[in-house]
Amino acid sequence: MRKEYKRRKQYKLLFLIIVFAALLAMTVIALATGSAPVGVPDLADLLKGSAPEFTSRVVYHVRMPRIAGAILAGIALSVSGAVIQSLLRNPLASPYTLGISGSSAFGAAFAIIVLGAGGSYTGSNDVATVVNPYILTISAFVWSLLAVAVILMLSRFRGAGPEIIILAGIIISSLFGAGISAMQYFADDVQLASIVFWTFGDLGRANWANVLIIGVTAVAVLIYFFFHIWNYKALQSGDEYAGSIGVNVRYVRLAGMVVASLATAVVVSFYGVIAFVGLVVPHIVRRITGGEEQFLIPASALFGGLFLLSSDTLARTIIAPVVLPVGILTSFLGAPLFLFLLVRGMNRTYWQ
Amino acid sequence: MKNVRCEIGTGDFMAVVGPNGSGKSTLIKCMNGILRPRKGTVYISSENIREKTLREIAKKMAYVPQNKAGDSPVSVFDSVLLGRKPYINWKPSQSDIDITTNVIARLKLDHIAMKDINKLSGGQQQNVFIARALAQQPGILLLDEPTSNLDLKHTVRIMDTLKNLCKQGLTVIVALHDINLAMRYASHIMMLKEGEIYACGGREIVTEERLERLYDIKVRLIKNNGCFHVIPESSIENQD
Repeated sequence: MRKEYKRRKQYKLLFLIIVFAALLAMTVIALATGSAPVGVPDLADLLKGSAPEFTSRVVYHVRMPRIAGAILAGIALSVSGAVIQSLLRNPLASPYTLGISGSSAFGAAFAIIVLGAGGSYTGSNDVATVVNPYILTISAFVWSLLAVAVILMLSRFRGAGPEIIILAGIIISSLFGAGISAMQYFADDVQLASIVFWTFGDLGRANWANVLIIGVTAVAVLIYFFFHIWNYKALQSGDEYAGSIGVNVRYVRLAGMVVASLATAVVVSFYGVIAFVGLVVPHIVRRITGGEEQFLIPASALFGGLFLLSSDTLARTIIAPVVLPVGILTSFLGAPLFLFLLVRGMNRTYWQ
Repeated sequence: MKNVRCEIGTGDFMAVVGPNGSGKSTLIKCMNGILRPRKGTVYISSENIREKTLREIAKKMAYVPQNKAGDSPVSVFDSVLLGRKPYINWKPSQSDIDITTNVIARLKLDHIAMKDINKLSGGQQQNVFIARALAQQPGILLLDEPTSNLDLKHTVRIMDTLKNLCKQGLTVIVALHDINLAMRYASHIMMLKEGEIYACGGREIVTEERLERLYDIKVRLIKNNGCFHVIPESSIENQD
């Protein structure tokens, strides 16, 4: 029995190692792909220190921040999705499907139009710069909490099944979508260009400054979740049982949701709404390693990084030289899977 | 609930009986602090549980809920390991694994240890939930209708298991529907009616008169092989 337990643990550890290796490989591929003529041989030159300045600029200032942004955003969104699914015991939940992403996007737009956090537009590489990223992030976070409050209040009703909560998420999303549209209507051209960004996620605006903020957030959030893994495990057996083994259910759920929406809000406020990553990744991981949180959370993190980096690399190359915003690609990938989950869930087998 | 005043000694087997809605489940949940009574409290060896955290209570008292596990697949081993939660901070230690292994062996669940609990029979699941509770190393075991979904054989098996645990010094408090089962196994019986204690004490408190008042139905109490049986009177005449 103990051997079998160890063997299963090793199998799951192997999965983590494979995903990590794949992530490293994908990073090299992503570093060597792009519109500028910098390929694998140039990377080798760069390591040797014999590369021209052009190569190092492309790698250090264009590709690397984008790659780091993709990995970190993928980690943050996927881990948030996995934890939210565990907290609400709802297989359809994720930052996007619960409207947390939508309300964060509204908060970001709100910061630009009403709080005047941004708006200067640099046309050179289609990047709308933000004057004050902190106000932007804080506003996105505060507005995302509104969505969390609605979801938590609804999930206290016993009759509210997974579908009802997701319907509420759709309502929240469309409400905030309307809010964004309204602000766009009243915005001037410069502001408009900035806001449009939040309606579809794009990693093109990744730079070392926002990568650092997202990185710090992602690490802090991961550490927080790691310390609560056993609380989240306990919640899977019902609130009352979790209470009987010493879990403060209301606190764990509330704090977990707030932390997950913080991670989402930080990503959304810099890169916009990247749909479905937080839903798709935990489901794929669950199929491979099972639903136990001690693997689900680290595996979702690694796999999420891999998933978003691969998606973004694909988005950069699929109709090159045009660079597609990654949010559009993840929506095309995620929407059919969401539908598949819904159909299969009709006979209550969401998790398997 | 009101007027619930009762003492339970170490190693007692207490059955809480009463009609539907009389507060059996509520009382069980108050005992381990999942529900907080507006007034009054519970003492465990003269320590007030209101002054304790859920985690401290969980090390003394384990609870086997009535509803079944969630629908996400989880192995028996992991399920029992979850009972170690009050002792685990962020990762189970070697001793948590050892205790889990021992509890599984003690309840003879070795052969199904790696199976998904959702694929087990009702009787096996109930055994796993008892093992999970034992992994908490509690002094008191609370169970909410542990036999409600089980057939005759598994009902007897589960009750035998509980009786054995009791003999090993564990205090068992169990909410039961079946008054016959309660009289067969319990050393103490608490009768609840509309949220109050109607009677509480040894098996001798169960009388025809009390049962009739409690359930509002005519009954006969028959002694057979040193064991009392309650025969409720049917409104339909017997065929013979």
